[in-house]
Parts: sequence; C-alpha cells; structure tokens
Amino acid sequence: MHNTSTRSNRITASRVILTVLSVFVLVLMANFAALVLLKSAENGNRGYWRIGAMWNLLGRMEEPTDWLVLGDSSGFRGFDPAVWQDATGEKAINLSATVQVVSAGYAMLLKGYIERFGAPKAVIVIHTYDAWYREVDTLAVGQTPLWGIWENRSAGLFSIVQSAKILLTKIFPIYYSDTSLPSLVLRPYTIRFTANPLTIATNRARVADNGFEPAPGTETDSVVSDLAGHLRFVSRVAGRNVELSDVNKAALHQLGELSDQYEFDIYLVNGPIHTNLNDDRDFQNHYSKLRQALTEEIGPFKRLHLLPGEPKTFETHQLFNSIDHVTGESAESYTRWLADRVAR
Amino acid sequence: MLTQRWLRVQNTLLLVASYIFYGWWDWRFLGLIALTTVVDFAMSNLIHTSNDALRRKAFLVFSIVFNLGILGFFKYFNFFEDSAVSLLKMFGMQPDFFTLKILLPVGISFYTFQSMSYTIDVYRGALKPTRNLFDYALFVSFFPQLVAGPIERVPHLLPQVTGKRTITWEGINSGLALLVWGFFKKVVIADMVGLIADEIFNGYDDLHGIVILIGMLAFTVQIYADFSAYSDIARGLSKMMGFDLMVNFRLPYFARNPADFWRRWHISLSSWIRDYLYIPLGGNRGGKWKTYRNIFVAMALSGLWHGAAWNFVLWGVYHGAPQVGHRAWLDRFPPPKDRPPGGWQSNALVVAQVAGMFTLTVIGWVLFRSRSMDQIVGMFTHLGFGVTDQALDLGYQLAYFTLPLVVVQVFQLAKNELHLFEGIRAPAQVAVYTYLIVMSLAFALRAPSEFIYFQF
Repeated sequence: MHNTSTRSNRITASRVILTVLSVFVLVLMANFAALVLLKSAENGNRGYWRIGAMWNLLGRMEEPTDWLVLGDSSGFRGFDPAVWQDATGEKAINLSATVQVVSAGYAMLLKGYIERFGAPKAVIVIHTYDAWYREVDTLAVGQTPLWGIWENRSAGLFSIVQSAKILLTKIFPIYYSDTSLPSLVLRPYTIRFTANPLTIATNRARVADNGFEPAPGTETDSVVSDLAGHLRFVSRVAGRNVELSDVNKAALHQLGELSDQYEFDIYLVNGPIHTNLNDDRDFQNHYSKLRQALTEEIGPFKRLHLLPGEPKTFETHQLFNSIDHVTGESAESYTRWLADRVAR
Repeated sequence: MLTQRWLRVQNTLLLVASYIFYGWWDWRFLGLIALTTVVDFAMSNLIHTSNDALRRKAFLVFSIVFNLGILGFFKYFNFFEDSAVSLLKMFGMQPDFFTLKILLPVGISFYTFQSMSYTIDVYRGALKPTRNLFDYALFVSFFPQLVAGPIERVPHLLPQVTGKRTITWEGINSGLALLVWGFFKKVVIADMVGLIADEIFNGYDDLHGIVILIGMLAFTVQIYADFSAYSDIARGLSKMMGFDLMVNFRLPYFARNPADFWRRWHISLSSWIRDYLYIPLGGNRGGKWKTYRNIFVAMALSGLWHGAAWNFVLWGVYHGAPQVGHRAWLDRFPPPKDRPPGGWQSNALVVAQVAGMFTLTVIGWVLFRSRSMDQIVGMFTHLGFGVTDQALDLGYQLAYFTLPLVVVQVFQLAKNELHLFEGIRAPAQVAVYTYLIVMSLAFALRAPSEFIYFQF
C-alpha cells in the first residue's frame, strides 16, 4: 500500500481517542459561549432575544395582573400598560414577543402564566394581519430558555420534527442559530455586553417590568419601504382564500379551551396599521377573508372574541420602522383606543 | 495495528453502501453505473483472453465507444444539439429538432473515465483483469470518490480492494485530519466566499472597480477550496477504512508555469488526460508542432470534460495556449542545466513566476464561471481601481475566510509537507480541530450548496 507519510508511527489509540474527546468538550464549551453571546440583546437577533426575555419577565413577576397582553412586535411596541392603567384603572402586563412564534408562542405563555398565577381577568392578543397563515419559526420558539416554567408548554402545538428542531436550537445554538452568530464570528469587534455575561447565560437580561418597549423614534424610509412591500403582497393574494396555518389553528384551539376552562375572555385584536394599507382595496378584500377564516376557527369557543370593526390606523410619521410598529407617542393613542374598545 | 480478516464481507458491505450512497440521489441511475461496470469488466476479460489483435482492438473500441456514448448522451446531447441549431441558423436554416430533458447522472464523468482506464490498461498489457466482478464493481463505485473523484487508477486502488487492508490508528488520525480540514474548507471557505463570488458575478452589470477583482479572487478561492475539500473528505474517509486514495491537489496556486499548474491541479484528471489522450495522440514524440497540437487538443477536451458549454471549452483552450507557449519558450530557450540554486534573484524570479501563473489562473476562472461572452467581457471591462463600501466589506470577508487557507498552504509549502495537522503535537491538534469544527458549525446552513464538481 502506498504510504504517504515518512514519519515513524507514533500515533496511538489513546492519543486519537483523547484528541477526539478533548475536541468534543471544547466544542461544547464553545456552544455554551455561543449561548451566552446570543442571549444578550446587544449581540443576537433582538427579536429572538425578546422571546426569551418575555419568559424571564413572566418568571420575575411577583404578583398576578388583571389584563395579560400577548402578541407580536406590534404589541410590544404598541401597548403601554401604564397608559392602560390610567385609562381603565386596571393592571396589565405586556408579554408580546415576535410574530415568528405565531399564536403558538402566545398559547405557551398563557399556559405558563396560568401555572404561576391562575387565570387572569382577561387576555388581549395583539397581532399583525399576516401572522395567521405563517408557519412557526422553530428557531424563534427555541429562544425560550433552557429550563423553568416554560417547560412542557408546547404540547399539542408542534410536530415531532418541529419539536426536535426547537430542542436543538435551545441546546445547540452554535449550529442552529440564525445569521447572528456567523455575523459575530465574522466581526468579533462588534460584540458588546452591557450586562454580566454570566447572568445572560440564563437569559436574565431585562426588559422593563411591564414589558412595554417604546420605539426609539421614527424611520420614515423603512416605513415607506415596508408599506410598499405589503401593498405588493396584498395585491398578489387579494383574490385567494385565506387558510390559517396548522400551528395557528392548534394554538387558537388551545387558547379557546383555556378561556372556557378558566372562564376568562380572550380578545384577538389587530395591531396598529398604516392608513394607506388599511385603505387599500386589495387589503380590505384580503382582511375580510382573514376575519372570516378566524371567525370560523374560533366559533366553538364562547369566550374567544375577534374584535369587530376596523383596526386602528396611523400615518407614516406615527410609525417606527414598519407598517405596524408605532412610535412611543403613538403607543399611548393605540392603548387608549384599545381600552375604549375592549375594557368598556 | 488493527487487522481486518473478513475481506469478502467488508467488500460486500462497501459495495452495498456505495450503491445505496449513489442511489440515494436518484435510484434510476444505479442501472447505468452497473451497466458500465459489467460492460468494462466483460470487455477487459475478453481482451485479455483473446489472441486475435483485431478482436482485442474491437473489444477495446466497444468499451470506449460505450463509455463515451453514455457520457456523450447524458452530458453533451443537448449541448451539441443547441450548438448545431445555432450553427444552422447562422446559415439561414430553421431546424426543428426535439429537445430532451436529460438529467445528468452525478459523477458520470468520473466513473466512466475510471472504468475506461481499466479496459485501456488491460489492452496495453499493463495489468491483468480481475476475475471478480464484485471487486471490480467496488473499484468503480467506491463511494468516497465516486461522485467527484479523485479518478483512481487500477494499479493503485484495485489491489487495495482485493488485498488485505489494514486500519491503523495512524490512518484514522490522518483521516480525521483530512475530514475536519475538508469540511472546514467546504463549509466555511468555499461556501462563504462563494456568496461573495455569486453577488459579484451575478451583479457585474452594475458593478465597477476593485469589487470586480474581489469577485474574481473569490471564485478562484471558492473553486479550489470546494474541489479540494471534496478530495480531502474522500481521502480522509478512505484512510479511516484502510484505503489510500491519490492526492488530487498539490498547492496549485503556487505553480510557476502552466505545465506545473497541471501537475498540481486535479492531478487525477490531468494525469488521465496525459496517459490516455495526450500520449496516444503522440505526446511529444512527433516533433514540436505535433506536440503543441497534442497539448492543445488535450487541454480543449479537458475543458469540455468539465461541462457541456462553450465557456468550458474556451477555458480549456485558454489553458492550452499558455502551455503551448511555455513549451515553445522552453524549446527555444532551454534552461541552463548548471544554474546555481538560491540567492535573492532566484527567489524573486520564483515569486514573479508564481504571481504570473496565478494571474493567468484567475483570468481562466473568469472564463470558467461566466455564463456568457457578455459576462466575460463585462467582468474585464468593469475592472478598475475604484473602491466602494461594498468592495471594502466584501474584501474584508474574502480576506477573513481565505486567511486560514493561505496560512495552511504557506506552511505546507515551507515544510514541503501536505499532511500538516496529523503530525503536530496533540494540544495543538486539539486547538486546531476545535477551531475548525466550531467555525464549521457556526457557518454551516448559512448557504448550503452542492460541491461545484458534482455538476461535472
């Protein structure tokens, strides 16, 4: 046999095995370091970070609330619990996450809340219009922390493959993370920590205690660009029927069952929306079909309500960086509008 | 030292595994590789047992025509048809040929050449054919090198199939080094710089300045990292099973002249072309003009082997021209036999030669990667010195991903040693492997892509 090496044979079984084991251990340590890096809001995808942060906020709560607000980013930008309390006299907490977890994420958080505090007085689910036919992003759901009250909240929501991917995302972020990790590895000079990295590993990095994250100003170009994208989208889908995704259907059923079992009301509310989009005929066509599909799906559940009427609209200068993220000032307007429609 | 006693069981397992591996992509083409195997096995045995020169030649011709026919049909049918249609249209005709949607079987260019070399070697009397069809089938279909080489030769691989193999810890250590380095080269280097190359080649129309050069360099790195990664992975897996596959790359970007480049790049193909095309055409035995012709033809066909498109032929011809030119130069100005070694002038000459050959190679890769003459012209005419933010960002990324490759290659050159990682001390080996694996995991899935040479 052709021998490509002229060195004497000094490779032993123990050396090879030890090398492999050592590398394995070091890779695991690197994986833990990746976990720490990505759990920090400064380094990872902020949307994904928000998901984990909501579970930690839930874990930090010391008292129950009257109104539990769940939903996506249109919710955590748009709903201000302090304004709600001022308008209604009742407490609220905003555990809105991001749209990637779709309503499965909301159902999981609600179950976690009920586990800790029992049923709230009522729940508001704030979501963007195009959330209901999306499939779940397993990478997003994998941002729930590794252990704690969030365990076993996903029963009945995901397939075996989705569940496996979620688990791998949680324990093996070095491989399953999104573009954040490669970006940090490519540009290590951008890594920042504003909190103790050791606490970040358990995702105790904080948001405000009521969960509200006011938007930092307005980015007109982004809003205009996002609006154009949505107008193109609705013109493409206007004639089609709306089919809710399987995961959303399963989550709606769980929300409905919980509301019936614990006897509290859940209100499905569309988040803030750009005036021009709302006025668009194709959007209106599509939106009415969406509402029809939602109405049919939640029909069996007496305490699961779809808020009637048109969504609350805003102009470009009142929005942050998309058609459904309001500025900090406009959040007050949205919250008061909600209070007027829901709480009274 | 580990010894393997059940050769027949091993070979059967390997053969089944190889066919499952190949069939996983598309089971319909298992029949094709099996047919190639049976035909060449039969023809080689008929050649060996026949005493009639004419019959022996007829069996050889049958084997060659069969193999090239299959290759020609699956790979080149639509290419030649489209070319014929274009040619006829130039003369004002409007031919109405039918178009077949022909799926190119993965690895067909590799295993047909590998199988053909067997029949040709038997005909030449260079070796006796094996009597065991299954051993031969394993030689043709051995899964680590089946789909993208190296194109193995019978005297090298078949004895390892039929003879007793030894799996040693040194082999496993060596195999692991090749595997880890190969995966890193593919997942981190090739795929990441491939994104840069794609961005620039696909958007060249709107780009000008140094960013074009970055795109050219990115593809130069991508194709080498991608192809050599596959070879490393194939060799690494094989070593861990007790097989030794041939080295397919020997620091090709340090070549000093065109002939040197082809002694370092895709060695298994270039040596195949030399032994089964260039030499049968006459090699360098018919005078200088015939030699130049033979070099040119060999390189043009080598280009055509890569793909059914005129840019590949152009690339082959492009590489043929400097080879002929270099040969002519040496014929006219042969190097002095007693040139003293060393000295800064000698080193400067080497650096200049390497830089010159590298430049020629980069130009060739533009021809290889481009999809049209417009793109080729556009890439060169848009080249310039203008620096943009995009160029800075992509340049940084190119440097970031290429640096490990450059470091390793420089060390390999300095130590005159291709097998770098397996010989270093254990702590250094652990550190290097950890770095390579962590980076591979972090960048995997970002841009999953096939190996480039799978398409050939």
